[in-house]
Order: sequence, then structure tokens, then C-alpha cells
Amino acid sequence: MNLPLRDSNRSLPLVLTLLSLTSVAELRAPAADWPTYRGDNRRSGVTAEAIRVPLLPAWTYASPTPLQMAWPGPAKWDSYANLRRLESMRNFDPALFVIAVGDSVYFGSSVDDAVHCLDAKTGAEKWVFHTDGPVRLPPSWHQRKVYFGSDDGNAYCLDAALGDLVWKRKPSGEENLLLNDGKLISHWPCRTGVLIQDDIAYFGASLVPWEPSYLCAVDATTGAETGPGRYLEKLEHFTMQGAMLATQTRLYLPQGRQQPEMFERATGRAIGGFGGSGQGGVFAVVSRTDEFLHGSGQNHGSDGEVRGFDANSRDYFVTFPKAKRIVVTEATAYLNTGTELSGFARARYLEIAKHQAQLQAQHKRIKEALKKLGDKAKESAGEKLKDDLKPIEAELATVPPQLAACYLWRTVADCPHDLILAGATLFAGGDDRVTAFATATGKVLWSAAVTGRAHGLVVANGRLFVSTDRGTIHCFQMAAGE
Amino acid sequence: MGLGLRFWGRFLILWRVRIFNRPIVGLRSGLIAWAGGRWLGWVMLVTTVCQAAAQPLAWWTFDAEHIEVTKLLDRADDLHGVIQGPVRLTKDPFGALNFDGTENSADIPDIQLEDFPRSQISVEAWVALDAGLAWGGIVGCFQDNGDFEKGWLLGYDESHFRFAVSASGRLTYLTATAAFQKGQWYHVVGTYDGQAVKLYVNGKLEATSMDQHGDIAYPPKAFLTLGAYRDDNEFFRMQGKLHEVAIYGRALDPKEIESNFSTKGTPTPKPFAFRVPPHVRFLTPDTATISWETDEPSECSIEFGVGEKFDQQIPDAGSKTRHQLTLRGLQTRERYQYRIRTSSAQDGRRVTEAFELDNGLNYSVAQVADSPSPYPNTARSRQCGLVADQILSTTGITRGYCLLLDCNDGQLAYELARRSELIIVGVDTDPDQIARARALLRKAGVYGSRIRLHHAASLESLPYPQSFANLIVADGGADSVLLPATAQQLIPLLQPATGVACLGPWRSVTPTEVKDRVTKWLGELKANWNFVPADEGGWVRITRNPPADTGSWTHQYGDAGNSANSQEGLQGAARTDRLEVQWLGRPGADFGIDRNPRMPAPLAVNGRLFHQGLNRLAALDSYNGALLWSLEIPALRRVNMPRDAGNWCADSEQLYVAIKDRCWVIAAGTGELLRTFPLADRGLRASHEWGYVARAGDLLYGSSVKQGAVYTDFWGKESWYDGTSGAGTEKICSDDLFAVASANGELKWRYQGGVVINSTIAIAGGRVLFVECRNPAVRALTSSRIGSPKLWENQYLIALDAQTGAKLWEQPVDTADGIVVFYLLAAEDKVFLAASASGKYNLYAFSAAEGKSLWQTTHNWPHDNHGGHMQHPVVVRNTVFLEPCGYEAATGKLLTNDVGRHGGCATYAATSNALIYRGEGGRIAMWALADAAVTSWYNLRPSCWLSTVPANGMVLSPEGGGGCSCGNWLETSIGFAPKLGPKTN
Repeated sequence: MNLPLRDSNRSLPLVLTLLSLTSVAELRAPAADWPTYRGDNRRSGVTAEAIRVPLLPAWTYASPTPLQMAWPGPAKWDSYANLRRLESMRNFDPALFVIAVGDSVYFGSSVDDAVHCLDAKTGAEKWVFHTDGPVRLPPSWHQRKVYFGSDDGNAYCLDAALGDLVWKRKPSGEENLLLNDGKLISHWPCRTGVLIQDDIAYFGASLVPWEPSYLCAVDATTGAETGPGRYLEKLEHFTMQGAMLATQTRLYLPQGRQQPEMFERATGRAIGGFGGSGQGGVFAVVSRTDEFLHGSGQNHGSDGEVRGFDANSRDYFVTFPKAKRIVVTEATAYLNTGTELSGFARARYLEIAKHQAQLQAQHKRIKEALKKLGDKAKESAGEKLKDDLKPIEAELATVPPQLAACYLWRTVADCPHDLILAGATLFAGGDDRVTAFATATGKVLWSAAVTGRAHGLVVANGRLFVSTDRGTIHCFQMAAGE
Repeated sequence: MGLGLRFWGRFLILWRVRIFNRPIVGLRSGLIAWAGGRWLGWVMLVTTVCQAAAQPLAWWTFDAEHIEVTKLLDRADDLHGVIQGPVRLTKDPFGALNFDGTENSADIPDIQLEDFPRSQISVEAWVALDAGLAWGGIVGCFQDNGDFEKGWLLGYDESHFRFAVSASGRLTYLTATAAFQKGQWYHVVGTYDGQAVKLYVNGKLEATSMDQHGDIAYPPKAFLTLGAYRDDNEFFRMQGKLHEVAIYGRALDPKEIESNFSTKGTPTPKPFAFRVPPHVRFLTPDTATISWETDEPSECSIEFGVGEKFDQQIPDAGSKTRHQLTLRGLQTRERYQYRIRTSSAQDGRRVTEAFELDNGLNYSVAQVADSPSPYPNTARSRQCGLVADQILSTTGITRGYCLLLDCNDGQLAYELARRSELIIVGVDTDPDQIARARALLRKAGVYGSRIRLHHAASLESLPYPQSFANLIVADGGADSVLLPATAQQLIPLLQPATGVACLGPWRSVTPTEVKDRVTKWLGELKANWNFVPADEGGWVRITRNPPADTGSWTHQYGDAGNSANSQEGLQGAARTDRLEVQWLGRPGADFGIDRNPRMPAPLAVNGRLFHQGLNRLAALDSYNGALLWSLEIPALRRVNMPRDAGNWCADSEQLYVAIKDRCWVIAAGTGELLRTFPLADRGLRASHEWGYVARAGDLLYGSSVKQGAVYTDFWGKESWYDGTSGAGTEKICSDDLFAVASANGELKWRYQGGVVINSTIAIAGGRVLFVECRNPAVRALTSSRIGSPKLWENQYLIALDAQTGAKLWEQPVDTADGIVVFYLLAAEDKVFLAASASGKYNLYAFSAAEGKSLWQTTHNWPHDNHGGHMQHPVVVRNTVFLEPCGYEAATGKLLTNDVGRHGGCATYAATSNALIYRGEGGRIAMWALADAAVTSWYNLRPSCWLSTVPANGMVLSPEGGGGCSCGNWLETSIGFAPKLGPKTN
């Protein structure tokens, strides 16, 4: 049995160190837990566990009725702007996402308002804890407790083994509920999940941007909001939804169609957003080198995109068109556009992209200055600016081939819904299918049928869990003896 | 002249000598050797003598054989094309490329216009269109920009094929006499021989013009695009299929055209004669019925599948005119297509175009699994079943929310859920009971999907929103006559329009005792109740009245008088911060068309909200947002409301929707199609559609507009309909007005005079009022979409008796030309006309009794874009508001010029105390009449016309703006209720 030894925020540095020092393909890392949404608080989607394929089906959990997502789908198109295939920016709960710790699997349900704990070996139910509203994101496991939020407005802490309530906190206090697609929920549902870092539980309670939102940091053990680094901030014009992220000093909150916002972790002070109006989306990763990669919304662009920003300064530096998911390691980043999977040299690519962003910014500034000159652009000041443009444009022209040269491999892959990295294997979620690829070559290693669109992938303790939009959780495991 | 030379090793190949624009003999190829720096002379010379006149100069076939990835091969020469967008090929019945109307078309790059045919031309295509367009193109090489019109175009409009040529003058557009049928294949040819322009459809001459002569006049530059109407100013892509396009350097003669048509062997399509076009009604999450009616008895089947597959088929037994088939096993959130295949003695076998069935927009509630009850079969279970039956039969409430007090073990909740479509909220003070019940109901698979249970410390103080429960019941257990909670707590939770509290059963209690107990329980509370006897006791049935200031929004602009005012009081609330979210959720942006095309307004009456989307509509409970039903109707669409009348209206029990040549009467509570009414004049039914629709008294009012006139386009900036003149500002007009009995469609009267401008038709005070144009030139127009300046001549303001249709009075009117918009609003004693053009709003008042002019005034537009030039006036009590001014209705005196300024394209709607509009930052805002205070909901966006209405005691904002991809919009439907007490937060 793999004991749940580590906390959600502490495992990745070791993993990345190992990855950087060792031949990844040969590494046979020990089994590991997956204690929070996308594995850690940076939502990296990475585990060191080197699970071996092929995998065999072990068990399947099926929701008795379809999932009840928080929001309807996106518009079919922006017909005015001639854009089709708009991506949803609020689809943070398309599947019963799981976490896996030891021999337990935990998930929250939008169907029955409960958190479920299953036996990872058999799929048998260990316990169920009901709340008064849908639970839209998976719990976080920390020191033998699980933490999660509910649309009833509470953040909960349960005993992980028994499912007993340890504490719950509702920042909005008593209220009259509102009706939401057959449910009675809080005006301030907790749809950020609960993130644990340094024994503090962070969560947001928020719904509509014309009402104030709450950002909370409470003691993970007691739920108390008193003490250093604990707070309950009441904030205007936010609509916090989707899994929260954290670094040592920052919190990051996706906001649906609004752009994600960065906060000071110690105080809850809002620092600013990433990108412009309409650049929302609930997929986000903070890399170990502090790039904030975020998508997959659009701002007058089709088919989604992932945008990259400096995770501290919030400076924009790159857009990956049509990207759905990205996994970033020290050496290599893996990009899933839904039709193509690729691996590229992370550091070099981002270095070029950042330089390109600087050049583009300079170019834009000069162009704007020229525009301001109007008819005087033909005079000497204008000519000087035009001369300034030339080397920038020449250098910009050299960027695309440099970026292309960073790619280690590219392969056709029709699996747009998720991407994670387990040791030397990438797992990608498609329609009715999950597929494994070799990180070194992009070659398909294994594939298996699932029921529905595979939105949630987890590798933990020798098992692969696949959560689909049909409300199923498929468990695959290594063959005996592996 | 074109010369093709290419080296191949040491040979120089002379591979083409071409004179594209001359039907003469051409030299096709040759070979010259070059070696050692010396010409070796002609080694081989092959000339292919071709009679170019007999062959097409360019010939493209859209099949796998002639498309290489995205390259479209020219089978005649080297005018190869590039297909933009997705390449989706079909084979039935020809190889063809699917054009989606938005992303794909085929461009022929690098064309040399000097090579193009000049003295004669023929343009030929095999095409199947899925949608008409105001400006549709199959293939063209032209510019049509204002007065500059050159080149030629084979295309179509909303309903007919067209061919246009410019030689001696501007483009002459020929229009086929017969309308095309969507989804059917046609052979279309346009010819020009230097004198006559001709258009042939399926081998038959459809139109001829002698207006042009001489060589074709080409513009200096133009596109040669297939599958689109494209010039420098416009780019409208085709929605349909192309099999083949050919261009000839001479005018084909009729025999050749007939021969070319016959060669393909496709029978001439006959219009698919739907009497009532198909519509989908969702029954359960995986079941839907599709219903339609045909003119002639026929045997039908449905072919359907996910995406573009049609891999499932359901036959409908027997030859009949009324058809209904049920599709089962539909997958959650999948989008299907279906088509109907028919076989009749008269028409043979035919298949319709493909229609959409989007199960992702199926809002029906989850069904309780047909499996054994999780509860033991005991006396209590039998009692719960009996009680559930009695509650449902006593109240007739089977949809929406049910509040179950003292839910105990959840068994009554389970039995109610099994027998209805109710969403049940159970509450109990015993947490252990709740835990046990949750476990049992989860085991039955209904917990969360249909039933939710809450623990409450006391039933005297429940955290539920006011007015939310369609049904309130209590599980009385053994002691059934205990009245639950207090009436003061319970009754305000009842939905006030149609909600019922059903308490009982009352056993062994005399009527007097019932009366005493209920009267005492209700105390001072105003509620209506009666006792309904039943086996094993009876039931007390309680209803409540909506607040006295509750209003309705039954027509496009609130009422049949177009006041844009629902008379909704919102219990005094005139600010957004005096309202709070009562419900929030589906339908979302995926239900709608998009924000831009100025869709019909939602309607709300008798506790129900009706919302139109993309070829679909839905009914929600206004007070709790519960989806009551939805219909998908492919033929349902009308846009550009500022230039037309709405396509629907509602009363307390029925919804009336104009679809093609009929008005559908739909049960408001269930979505059942009760009946359809045809146009009043039998003679117009083949050529006209139902235009205006309104309800007043016991009559339903309608009008007839020529087919193809109504605006339906929604794609692109042109379909924003924000212009100040020209395309998109033409007014939809009617050729008659009529009234039928709303109960049975019996014709009561019909009026036929001039051309009636739909946006001016209003009913108030027992009068039907409108403006008509009697100009003969306008009356002679072949389209009901009228942009002619003559529309503003010979105009009359007319009042008819609403009951009899008798003319009460008429007055000639000479307003400013309403080029942008032209509206009429009718109140009890006054009529207002608003004409917008040339930077100004012009407002006119007349007496309703005799049409006497009372006053007129004018003010500048706030903007000439984003609707700043096309706002609809609003009447509130004694004031007429038209941004930014408010005028005294009686005198025209300016009362204010400080009406809350719109901040994006939408128009105003009024409560009794405020105007609701799109304000600063593009948000939905309120402007309070009392103090001019402006408040708004941050990041809440309406549609580009009228999607937020005050009615039923609420502000109702079904989603209208989510397609706007540049903003942070909330993108869902919301109902706001007045705050009755401070909300804790």
C-alpha cells in the first residue's frame, strides 16, 4: 500500500528535480498519490509515477443521471465577428474529477450534492458525505483530511478515512438561497475548490460580478480565519470559478468569462488580471519557472487558445493558438491542440517567445507613434520611426523558424479534452478514448475505450482514472506483476 | 491571350496557347527540344484542335476526384481554385462540397480579367441551397458597390435564383419566377449573347431581359469566387452544396441547356409540401417526438444520426397527413440531424433538407428509473402513492418546483417524482431522517436529479426565495390535519400565478372544522382556498394572488399597443440594487442565435416566460426559472425587429407564433401544439406568410407578407441591422390585415387597402391602428421588404374597429421619412408615430378618437450607430420617452432630456417606475423615473435589441448577449425579484 505521505504542494519540486537529472524514459519512479486537482497547487498535471502501459480496465463508476454542469454551453458562434467554435470559458465541472490517495479515490458530484470516497481497488463506495448543493470540483487531500467547496456556500473539511465533518465555513453567512437549474444554491457558492498550502485552506465564494465575492484563507485544521495569513476578504466585481492555483506568494483565480486574477497569498489583496476583456477560461497552470499559462477562451479568436504570462509581473508573452491543454516540465513542454500533440524545448521556446513579445510591443508602440503623427509621418520624425521599425520587423521575421526549431516532435492526436504527464508517458483524453504517448517521440503507446469525452485524467498508485462527461469514472490498472 | 511554357529536362514544353475570351480554335500543346545550347527545332508538335465554343472555358466539379486536399482542379483548363475553410464532401446524389455559410468558399486566384468572356457568356451550376440570402452568390466575377456595378453573377436571393450581367449599364438582375426549395438540387444557367440576358432553372427559361447590349463590362479588378457573393464590399458565403460550376465563352442555346440538365438525370424537384413544418418536442432526456403535417397523404420515415450521419431510421406506418414519430435513446448533449423521407402516390419519393435536433438543449427533467422502489412495500408506501396521486390530480401541477414540508423518510417525495416532472425540495427538522432519506433516494438514483432534501432547524424560517414553489405539500404522516409551519411563512413561498398549496388529506373532519382551522391558520394573510373532497379525506387547495402591481409582457413591445411598458410595478423597485437574483441558469448562449440580429423580445405572462432562440423556443417559470418545455422548429426565425413586427404574442394560456403561412397556437403550460391557423385569404396561402401577430379580446390578429420578405439572416456585420439607410433598413410590409377568433381561427374580418407597414401596427382602446402606403408603385412591388422612397408617399394613418374591422377613421400623414425606423404606439386616447432619419428622431402625436394631429417634435439622435438612431419610444403614464428625451404625452412639452443613455445596441423597456436599457459599460441598467438615478448589473449584457423585460413581478433577462466574444458577460438567463428584506451577506 502506498501511504499518503505528501502534501499537495510539496511533491513537485522533487519530481522535477528527478526529471531534470534523470533519463525520464528510464525512470521508474515510485507510486505516488494525486492529492488535488491536476496533481498539485500549480495544477501542473504531472506525476513522477512511471505507470507502465498497457493498462487493464479495473472498474467503472457510473453516475445514475447526467452531470449537472454549473453553466450552459458557450454560444454556438459569434456571428457578428464571423467566429465559430467558441470555447466554453466556464466548463470547470464537465466530469467527476477525482483525486487518489493511497487506496482511496475521492470525487465531488454535481448530481447528488455529495463527496464520494471509493475503494481504488474495487470501486466500492467507502463513504458519502452530502452537502446542500452541488460539489463541482474534486477535494484536496491534506494530512488525512479532505477539503472541498459546495454550491451551498460552504467550504468543508472532512476526515478522509471516515467522511465525518471536521469543520465547515460559509463566508456569506445565513441567506435566502437562489434557484439554479433545479437546485437551491447560495448566492455565494464555493466553486473554486479548496486549496491547501502551508496548513492554510484557501477558497472563494462568488457567483455574479455585481455582488461582492469572498476570498478566504482559514486554518486548515480548525477552519478559523484568525491568525497570521488568515483572512476573509470581501471583493467587488469578481466571479471566482474554477480551481484556484497557488505559488509561494500568489494565488490565482480563474473567473469564467472574466480574465483570471492574481492575489497576494499572504493578505488576499487583489493584484490584477491576466489579459484583456473576454480573455477568460478556467484552465490554468503556473509553471515551476513562474509562467502563468491560461486558456482556453477566446477574444475574437476561434477554437480556443492558451496564453502565457509572467506569473508575477503579469506581462503577456505568448499565445498558443487552438491549444486546449499544456503540460510544462523543466526541460520540455507538451501542447495539446485537440488535433495535434507536440513536445518542444520549453526554455528555448519561451525565451524566444518572450523576446518576440518584446519586439511586438516595441513595434506596436512605434506604429502608434507613427499614427499619431498623421500627415507629419512623412517628415523627419516619421522617417526616423520608420527606420526604427525596419530592424524590428526584420528580427520578427526570424522568429517563426526559431520557434519551429524548438519542436522535438509533433504528432496527430485527436484528444482535446485533457493532457497529463506520468513519468515518461503522456495521457490524453479524447472522445470515448484515452491514449498514451511516449514523451520522447510522441508515439502512441496504448489506447483504450471509455464512455464519453475524457475530461479528467489522473495517474496514481499504479492506476489511471478517466472521468468523462457521461458521469463515468473508469479505473485502469497495471497488469499483475507490473 | 495566355501562353504556357515550361522546361522539362532539356525540353521546352509549349503546353498551352489560350485565348480565354474567344470561342476559337486553340493550340493546346507542343514540344521543342533544347540541348547543348542550341535549338534542335521542332521535335514533336502536337496540336489539339479544340472547338472552345463547345467546351467550357472553366469547369469545376466538387468531388474527391477533382479536389486535391484544398485544391479545386479546373477540368477544362488551369483555373484551379483553392477551397477556403473545411472541405466536407458528400455523395448524395452527386459528389458535392458542403458550404456552411460561414467558413468555406472557393477562390480562383490570380485571374486575368482580360481573358474573361466578353461578347457572350454562359454560367452553369448544379446547386442545392440550404438557406436563402438577401445577396447570395453561386459564382460571380463582379463589383456591385453603390452605383458601380460591373461584371456578372449567378446567384440567388432569399428564395429565388438570380443572374446578373452588366454590359451597357449597371447590373441587370434577373430573378427566377419559381422559388427554390431548400435542400433540393437545381441546374441553374445564366446566359448572355450580347443582347439578351437569360436565366434557366432545370432546363427551363425562367427570365429574360433585353436591357443590356454589347460586351460585358468588367470592373478593373474582381474576385472569381464559387460558393459566395463576393466583391470589394460584401462577402456572403453560401449555405448549401455545389456539385459543378462551368463557364462557357458563348451563350448556350436552350437545347444544350436542356440536354445538360437531362444528362444528370435528376428529376425536377417539386416543393416539399409541408402543411405544418416539423417540430421537435422533448419528452425526456433521451426521448423526443418529431411532428409535421403534409398536404397530401404520404408514408414517411425519419432518418437521423449524430453529426452529419443519418444512420438511424424510424418508419411511420400508413399513408396520412399528420405525422408524429418518437426518437428514443438520444445521447446526452449530442447534436443530431434528421430528415424526413416521404413516399406518396402523387409525388413519388422525396427527402427533405436536414434539420437539427440538439439534445444538448433538451431541458426535460431526469426520469425516475423504472426499477423497484427503495422503500419497502408497506401500508405507508401504498399511502404515499395514493396521496401523491391525489395531490397531482387535485392541483394539476406536474412541472416546476414542489416544496415538501416534513419530508420524513422521503417516500412521498419519491412517489411524487415518479408520477410527475416536478423537482422536489423536501425539508425536515430531523437530520437523521434527512440522512436516511438521502441514502434511500440515492440508491434509487433520484437524489439530486429530481429530489433534494434539506435539514432545517425550524419550518418557521426557511431559507427559500419568495414565490418559488409551484406546488407546496406536506407529508402529514399519520396526523394528516396538522397544518405545517405558519401561513405567513408558507404562503409567500407559493408561485403566485399558477402555484397551488395542497394540504391534507383531511380525514374525519367536517367542512366546518376545515373552514375554522384553515381560516385561523391563514389569519390576516390574503389567499384563496377551497376544499376538494377525495377518497379517504379531502384536500385544502390554496392559491395566492400576484401583487397588485404585477404586469405582463405579451407582445414585442410589451402590449398590443407597442407601449414598451408592461405596467410592472416591481413592488416599487426602480433600481438594480433593489432587486436580487431569484433564479439563474439555462437557457444559455447556446440556445440563441447571437446578440446581433435584433431578435423578437421574450414574452412573460401568467407566471411563464417565453424565450426564442435559434429556430427554437422555450417556456420557463418566471418565478423560479424551471424549464417547462421547449420546442425546436426549424422554420421559426425572424430578426431585425426594428423593421418588422414581432412573430409571436401570448396570453395567459396560449402562445401564438407566426411560422411560414400559419400561426401556431401552443399551450403555454405544456408546449403542446394545439392547432394552426392559416392566412385569412386562401388565395395568398401559396405566396404569402403570416406577418403581424397580436392578441386582444377574443381575437387573434394577423397580416400577410409576401414569401421571402421577412428578415432571417443573422450572420455577419450586415445582420446587425444597424444601418442608417439601405440594406437592412427596408420595412417589412403587409398586403392585408385580418382578425380570427383565437379559439378556433374563424375569420372575423379582413382589411385590404394599401401596403401596411408592420412596425406601425398596434391595437389599443378597441382600435387597430397602422400606417399604410397607397402609392401604386409601392403596391405593385413584388417584395414585401420595401426600401423604396415611395413608401413615404401617399401615407395614411388608419384606425379600424378591432372587433369588426370597420374603418373608424383615416388621416393622411406626411411625417419625416422613417428611413431608419418608423414606429407607432397606441394608448387609450393617443397615437404616437416616431420616424427616424438624417440624424433626428421625429415624434408625432394624434388623437386616437379621430386621428387629429396633436403635436410634433424633434430631437437629435444620441448616436448614429449601436442603435442610437433606432430606439423605440416608451410610454409611461403621461410621458413619452425617446432617448434622451421625455415629452408630456398630452402636449409634447419637453419634460427631460436626461434619460439614462444607452451604452450599446438595445432598446428601452419600462416598468411603472423605471426604464430598463443597456447602459454604461454595455450593462443592463435601470433609470428611475422618480430621481433619474442610474444603476446597473455589472457585466450583465442584453441582446442588441430587447431581451430583458419586466413582468410577472420580476425583471426577466433570458440570455441574449453571450455570443459577443469580446466581453466578460455572464452568459446565462436570470430572473430578478424585488428585495423584500435585506439579504444577509
